Amino acid sequence: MNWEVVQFLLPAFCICLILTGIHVYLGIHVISRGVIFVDLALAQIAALGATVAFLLGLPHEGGATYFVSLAFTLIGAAIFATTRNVEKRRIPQEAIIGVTYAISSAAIIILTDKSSHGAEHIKDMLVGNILWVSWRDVLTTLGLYTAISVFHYKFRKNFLMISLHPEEAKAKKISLKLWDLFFYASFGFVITSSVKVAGVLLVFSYLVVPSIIGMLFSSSVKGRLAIGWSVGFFASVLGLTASYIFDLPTGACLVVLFGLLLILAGCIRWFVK
Amino acid sequence: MLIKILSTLIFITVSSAFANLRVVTTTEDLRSVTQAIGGEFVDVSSIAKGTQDPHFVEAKPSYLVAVSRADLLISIGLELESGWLPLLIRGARQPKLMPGEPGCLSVSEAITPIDVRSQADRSQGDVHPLGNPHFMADPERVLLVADLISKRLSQLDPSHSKEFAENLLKFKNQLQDKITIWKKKLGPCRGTKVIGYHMTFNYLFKFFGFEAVGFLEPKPGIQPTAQHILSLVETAKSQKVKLIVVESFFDPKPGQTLAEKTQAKLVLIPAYVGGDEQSKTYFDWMDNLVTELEKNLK
Amino acid sequence: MNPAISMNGLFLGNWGPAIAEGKGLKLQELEGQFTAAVDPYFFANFILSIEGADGSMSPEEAWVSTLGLPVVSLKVGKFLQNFGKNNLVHTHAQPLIDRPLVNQLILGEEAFNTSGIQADILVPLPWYVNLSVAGVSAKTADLFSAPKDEALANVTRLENLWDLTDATTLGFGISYAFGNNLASKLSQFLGADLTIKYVSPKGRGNLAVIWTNEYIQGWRPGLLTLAVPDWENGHGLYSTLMARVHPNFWLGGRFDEVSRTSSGTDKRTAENIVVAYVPTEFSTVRLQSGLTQATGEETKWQALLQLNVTIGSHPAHAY
Repeated sequence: MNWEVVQFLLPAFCICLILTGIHVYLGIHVISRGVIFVDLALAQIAALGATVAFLLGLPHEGGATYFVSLAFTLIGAAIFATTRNVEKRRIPQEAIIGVTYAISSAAIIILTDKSSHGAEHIKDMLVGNILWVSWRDVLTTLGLYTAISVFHYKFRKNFLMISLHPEEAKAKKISLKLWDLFFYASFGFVITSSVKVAGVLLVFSYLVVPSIIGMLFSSSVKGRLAIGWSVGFFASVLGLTASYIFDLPTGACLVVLFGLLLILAGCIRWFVK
Repeated sequence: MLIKILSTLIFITVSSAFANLRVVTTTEDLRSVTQAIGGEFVDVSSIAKGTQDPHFVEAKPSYLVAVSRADLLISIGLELESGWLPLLIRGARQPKLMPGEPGCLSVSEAITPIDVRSQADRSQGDVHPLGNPHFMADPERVLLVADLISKRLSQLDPSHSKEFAENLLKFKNQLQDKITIWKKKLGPCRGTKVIGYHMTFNYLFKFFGFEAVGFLEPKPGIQPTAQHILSLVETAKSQKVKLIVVESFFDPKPGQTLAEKTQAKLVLIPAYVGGDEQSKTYFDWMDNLVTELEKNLK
Repeated sequence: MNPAISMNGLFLGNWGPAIAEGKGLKLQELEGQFTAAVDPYFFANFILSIEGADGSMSPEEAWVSTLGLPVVSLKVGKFLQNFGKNNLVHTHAQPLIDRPLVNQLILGEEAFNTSGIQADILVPLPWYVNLSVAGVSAKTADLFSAPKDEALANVTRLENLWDLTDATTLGFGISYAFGNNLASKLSQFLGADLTIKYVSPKGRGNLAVIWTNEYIQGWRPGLLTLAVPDWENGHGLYSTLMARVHPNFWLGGRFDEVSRTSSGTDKRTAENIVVAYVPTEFSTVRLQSGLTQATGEETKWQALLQLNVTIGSHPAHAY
């Protein structure tokens, strides 16, 4: 048994578990709100911020890069919080999200066009570099996500209410705009860190796929969390091992695996009906 | 200079005489009774919340800070809090709360417990050899506890002993009236056979004349097992058990499984004052218990 | 009137190239504890332990603390020093079967345990703040091993605990110790610990998650010049995450990293996971496995299985 390999893969596996933990929970909120593409757009904005930092010559592994990326994400979060509308106004929020995504993606391409490492950077942003994550990354990510989890736990009644029952929140005079801002801001923190490690596509997959599979088989928050976490764990183990054995880009491998699991879950649900 | 120090000391002593007595209790049952007797002259708070199992409270250092500021610490005794209270008392470094001092009160002194075991060892589970500590579920014993609390409050704050005595009388009269009402409501149900989860409601069962023929825990403190639940099905059927009474902070599934297989009904009730929204005071808690039991016995 | 008497037995099976010595099945440790109030003024705690089946009985801790002094508590005797969080935890109360690497390699295999006097002051702030200052023998502490009998060392720790929500607490502590070492120069140790603990507020034995982190750094000048040279600068950290996933099961893991410099630098990392079956608070079965890697060596594995039982009235462990 090649223990070096196991020790090498361990930090990557731990990061996948951490991502599973928080993203499945946030995913339940995101899907309930019906704005699936918000996270994709926010992730792309975070990537845009990282690109700007990259062009400014800031070191890739640094607090400075993180803060530039975070600043972009928080601005994006503020935009999305203020344009959320429970009563459909003239422009649906989906359109704003879509446009933001397109602009950020195009901006990244333009900015990196003249840089020699541009293409590599774009691929990095899309599929991440999970395999190279260090234990320091694991511990700092765990610290940040624990702080955010405590914040969400303390105010869980409010957060769950504004996502799952916004009319009830309005009736109870809870400021939708304020709590939406808190939600999107904490969401922004998570997205910024996750994108740095896992890339835009994988972050989106972690957010959406396990939650959808959870929704296929359970209607309670607890049930969806349990199923989502199991799917995330299972996919992480399988994906990391497969990408190592077949020498494939880890992020892309995991995304494809999530897709396959979703199709499989759908088939099972259809048969069991 | 000396006059300055003297006048400051006098000021502190005089102002502390006007400050309320600070009482910390271990459970919310005790908090509710102490509040009723102390009224506006005491500031009472409870360490364990009604939703917590007082056997397993974590000795959090924040509790320690609250205890160190208290004038009186009231506990149940009979080894209910032995897993965590001694650590808090020692850590609080407050000499007036040491056992033997007036600031330390264990209310089990006022009552005679049931379920005393002379020979006890851990193969019988987590047993309390000195007796069952959940006596606050017995309204008649609570009358005695109230007497003891009132006496101690008067000892620590003699200037308000008249008010404490008045509040005590009011509380006891109200409780006596309630006892009559509760006994009348469930009087016709004396002799009902029930199954419990843990021995928390033994005093309550005795008060209403119910007979507990089994418990979901195979032994005190041990998780219910599938085999044990099946053996209880036999007991429930042969003894015609009417109720399965489970404390609301335990997993309801073992009770549900048993209820499904027999004609007994599952009743989930809060084990302590503060265990749910309707049980914030002692009277509300007991009223709620009686209503739930009555509802499921019709 | 008898003291509270309890005995704890640890039975261990350990295998794998990462275990330096003592592989196989063995009696790990037998520990007897006697606690009681001596009189209204003092509280005594005597702990005798026997390590291994051929070990001799020696006092692991034997101390007396004052009762009834306001704000301050004085402790006199031989005891585990208040340096960091893990050092105070006895072997049978450790979350994993072995101690963190940084504690073993920087503070010493037998933990930082020596005789002296300690004062614990409950600082009157709105949250829990405990300042602990101790003057202890530097000769009998493996950490210092000062040549002179009467040499003293100092151990100070400032510990804070905040309630974040009704179910979550955050603890942060800083520790500092100094004293003469074997080369008669001043050794210094600095530690920081951060713990976040969540315990589900309902009922008994529900979900709990505890994340403990500790960083320790030590400076021991002059030890390279000894006949048997030893490391002079070292630092390390550990991060332990434990979760009670079922009333009878705990799941957890620990990451260790230690680096010590003598003539060269020796760096070690380890990752371990553990599963514990806890039928009651008096017995536990733990299964642990992990990997260690030291500079210049290949990765080694270890597997450990432990049965932990306590009889008698054992006092509660610290939060």
